[in-house]
Amino acid sequence: MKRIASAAAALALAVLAASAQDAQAIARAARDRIRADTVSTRARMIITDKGGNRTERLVDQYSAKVDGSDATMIVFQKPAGVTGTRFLTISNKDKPDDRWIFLPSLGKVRRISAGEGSGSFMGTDFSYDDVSLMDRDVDLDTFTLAREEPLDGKACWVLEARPKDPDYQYSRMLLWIGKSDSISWKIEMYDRRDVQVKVLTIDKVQDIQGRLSPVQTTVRSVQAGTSTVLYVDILKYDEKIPPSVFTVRFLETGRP
Amino acid sequence: MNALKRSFPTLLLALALTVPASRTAAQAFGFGTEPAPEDAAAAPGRASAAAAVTVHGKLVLGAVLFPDDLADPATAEPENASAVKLDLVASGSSAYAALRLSVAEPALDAATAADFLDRAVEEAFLRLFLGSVTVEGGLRKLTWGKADSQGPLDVVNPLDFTDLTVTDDLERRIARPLVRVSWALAPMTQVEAVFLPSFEPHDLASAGRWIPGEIADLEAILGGEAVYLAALPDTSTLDYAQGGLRFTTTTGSVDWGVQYFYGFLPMPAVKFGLPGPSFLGIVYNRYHQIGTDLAAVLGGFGLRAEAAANLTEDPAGDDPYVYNPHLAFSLGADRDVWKGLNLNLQYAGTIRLADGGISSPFDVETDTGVYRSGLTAVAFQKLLRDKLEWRVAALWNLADADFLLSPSLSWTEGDAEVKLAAGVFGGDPDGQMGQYADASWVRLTLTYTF
Repeated sequence: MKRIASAAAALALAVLAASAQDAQAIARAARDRIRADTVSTRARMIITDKGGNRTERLVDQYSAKVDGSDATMIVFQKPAGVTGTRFLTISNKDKPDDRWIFLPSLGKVRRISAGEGSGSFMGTDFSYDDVSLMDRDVDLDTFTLAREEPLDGKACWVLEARPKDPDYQYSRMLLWIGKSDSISWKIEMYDRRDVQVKVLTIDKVQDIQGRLSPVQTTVRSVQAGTSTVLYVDILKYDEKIPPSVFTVRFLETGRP
Repeated sequence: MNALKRSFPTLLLALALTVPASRTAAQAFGFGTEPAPEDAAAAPGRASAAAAVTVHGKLVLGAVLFPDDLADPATAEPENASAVKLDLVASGSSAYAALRLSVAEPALDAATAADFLDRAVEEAFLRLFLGSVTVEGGLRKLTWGKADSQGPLDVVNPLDFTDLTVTDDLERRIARPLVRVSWALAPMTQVEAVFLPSFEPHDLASAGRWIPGEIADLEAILGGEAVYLAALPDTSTLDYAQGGLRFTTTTGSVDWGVQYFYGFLPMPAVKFGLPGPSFLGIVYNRYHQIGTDLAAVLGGFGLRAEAAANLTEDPAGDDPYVYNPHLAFSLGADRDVWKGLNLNLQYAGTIRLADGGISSPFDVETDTGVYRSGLTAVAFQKLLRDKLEWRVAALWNLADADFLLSPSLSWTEGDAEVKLAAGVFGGDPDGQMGQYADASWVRLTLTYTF
């Protein structure tokens, strides 16, 4: 009997391990779905508060692989109060990302901690971490396959992602990943008390340079009752981005 | 040098007005050689980009009230804190020119156009991009060092202490004519060289509610403000030229730098001697600074440190009219602790060297402490999608046992902000901050940013 129980436990563990391995592979496929040397975007973010009032932000984002690391430069364009602010992230394997910000009101480049990624991104429902959520390194989370279910008629895997870093702003995330397209159509984020705080949905995708790309994404803050819709006005893959964009000089001057 | 300060902004203004395109739209997108579909104007990396002018600014309406003045309501009068701030930027493919104006009451009180420019121009500079080298010249505010609040390496610009209701670091900085060359050696590595053809000390009030006690006492001895002002040396000549080199880089996940600066200490040395004591003059001391700084993130804490050796021309410490050499340091840390609540602490101080050399009763450092330090604590939190922000800043001078407490509350709606701020001075009434205990203030401002 004991032998049978041990075998069942071993089988269950093997199934769990296989499930985890599959989930990791699904997540990796979703993460690596769009292959591009560089990505350049200009996005409008429309924030709607509880009362229905709307305000707008405009940001440019340039991403590329630099010396083997993912590098992202965000240039804040509007509103006028944040014009000239630039934010650089360089991802690191097995340790928190390096992040720097240049604030015109500060007059210098300042290194900030990854922990500050939980702060609101320009007053939107996105946090700094959310902005790069689609590009988040798969190895930073442990994935398990929670279930399979359709979402808006699309067959999806539902993965649970638990960040390995206990200081990360979310304790877990649920991802609805399309079986046919590997798109993360929906992501629910849960805080450390396991309360759902946000939900991200991809509302519209478009074929751009042969890649099915999200061009409209919404993040809703569940408790606050606010939402932010991100419209991608310009999206270009593989456009030349000088490596000097991801430098302290660009942070300071806005010039590569 | 004042002529340069006056003529350079005029030149930049003329340049800005003669460039072909005028726009207030967002900066161009991308770095390709072909114009982006919706935006064919100047792009940062485009070889054929045409120059364009952007105009940004702020309209500030506000007033400062001093509660102690209300003891005599008949004479109590709020101070005007209104201002029009304009940033005109001409930006081409290989050049960038900026003219930043702040028209507020001090400028409006100017008797002449030259005086108006002198008071209204915040910055005016031209920047050229020559490959990996950037050259800029003009009236400029530069921040050196990694401390969040005026660390010992932040030596390029003097500070304006004539209005202590101004709490913004950059606003308090006085722009100086300078040339700066920076060379990007690697993505996060650069060398900077800066040359200032003249020197300007910290601007200390010589009258009114913000006059420091030491200057009030000196004016009493000398016979008035006019005599004191006449005794200040002319520091606008090449005799007072200054310069420095700064190297910054990143190793692993640590940003660090080293710098050398040869300039003048920004505080005056007042010379007294026998017989009398009699007043012999006011001088500014030359010094060499060798410093280092670093910034890193450890355990979720943002850490910043600066250390410097300020070597004056009194290595033995026995010259009564020259400040002793001293070490200066700043240690700071900050962390988001809960729901965007950020706590920031900075401990900074100086340690005087060659203290045994001080023997003259007229030494500028007689009766002052060898070790001086202060603690700055800032807590702030943005709520309701950054619309509401509360902030409390506290400066505690450990040597003088006095403090400044500055809370503020602001509400931002789109491009408009309403802000209520206060400054409460207290502690030792002879201390640097405690002496202003009767000048605690409350300020209300309404700002529109465009």
